[in-house]
Amino acid sequence: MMANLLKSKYTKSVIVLAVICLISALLLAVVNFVTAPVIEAAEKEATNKALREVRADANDFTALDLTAHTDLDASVTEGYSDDLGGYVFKLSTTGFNPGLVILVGIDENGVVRGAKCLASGETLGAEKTYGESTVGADLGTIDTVATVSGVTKTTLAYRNAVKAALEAAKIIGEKGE
Amino acid sequence: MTMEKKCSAKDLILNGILFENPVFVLVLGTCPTLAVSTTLLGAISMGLAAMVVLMCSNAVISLLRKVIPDTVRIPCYIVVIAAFVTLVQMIMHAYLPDLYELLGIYLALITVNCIILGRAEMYANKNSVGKSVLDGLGMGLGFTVALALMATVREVLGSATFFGIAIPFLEPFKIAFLQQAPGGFFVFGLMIALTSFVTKGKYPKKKSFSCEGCPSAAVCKSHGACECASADEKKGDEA
Repeated sequence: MMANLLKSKYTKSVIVLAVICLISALLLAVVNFVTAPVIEAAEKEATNKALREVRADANDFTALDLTAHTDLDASVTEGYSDDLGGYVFKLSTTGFNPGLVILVGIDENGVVRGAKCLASGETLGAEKTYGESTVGADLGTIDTVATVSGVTKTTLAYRNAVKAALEAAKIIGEKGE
Repeated sequence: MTMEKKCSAKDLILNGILFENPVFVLVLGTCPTLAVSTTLLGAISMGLAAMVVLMCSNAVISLLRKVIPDTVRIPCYIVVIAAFVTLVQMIMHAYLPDLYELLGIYLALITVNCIILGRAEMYANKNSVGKSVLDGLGMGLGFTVALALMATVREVLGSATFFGIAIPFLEPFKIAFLQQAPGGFFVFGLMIALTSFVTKGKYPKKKSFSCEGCPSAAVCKSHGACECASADEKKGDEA
């Protein structure tokens, strides 16, 4: 019966398919071994390039583990420390429409150096003005930044998000990260 | 009946580019054709990626044609094709990241492109490695040329750019509709009509299941005793 099973055409089909799958997997593993470091380096550089848009002075960024900081505002979704002692935070909040995503760069003195809207439900182009008005602000002056008329609710949410980023930078900075 | 039609390398390649162009004659791979033919750079990149996968998969499938049992041939072909597509994806992601981002999901979808599986089934599993690779080259070049022609029309007339370079005098006259799906279909239809006009009488107009219409006629030793031939006879009897 065993001999019949081995001679069966179905056994040959299974063996051939399994061998082809194994050889394909081996080949893919080899190529992955070669290309994975290159891909990782390219992705890190792409992330750094995006972060440099709000923190032009810095060159290298390291991702922070925000799960260890339970006292941060809920809108803070990602955080990075840079090589100059500053931070970049990504925040997600709701203005007039949901889905307002902002990137904020803060220097080592707790001053906003750049703020960029990554996504919003507003008219295209309007969000450019939101970031410009918060540059140079710190925790003491952020509440005095004026909202933009016509999009008051969203610019208020934007200002609050930048304030949350400044607070996060202070909390994390005090913990020495 | 013995077929002694010999296919030279030039015939195989020209067949793929013009007389049996996979896009404008066989109407295969329509989804990526319409999706990536909005820019010339994307079109040529997709075409070349598909050509590499086609040549490699045809070569391997032809090498294994006497080993792969009939019962599992399609799963085996899919594994081989998917492996090559993944290889191309990884290499592009590592060394050509901009093109990788440009092609997006359509790079992975080469796996289920009908051209690849179709040529594996129709040609590579019945012919030698050399001829299969040439067939892959011809079909791949045909796919690339088809995408490039469509992209040229859609990009120049739809966006007033060529390869990303702005054409200022065309800017006031651009037809934005051509950059969208309906415009893609419109250009596609025109290209099929043009190809039909250029190749009239030189490609099979009627699908034949007899030895005459079989791509393996030159190497077949069945002399009309295969399934397709007997199916054709049955059709003739019923008529």
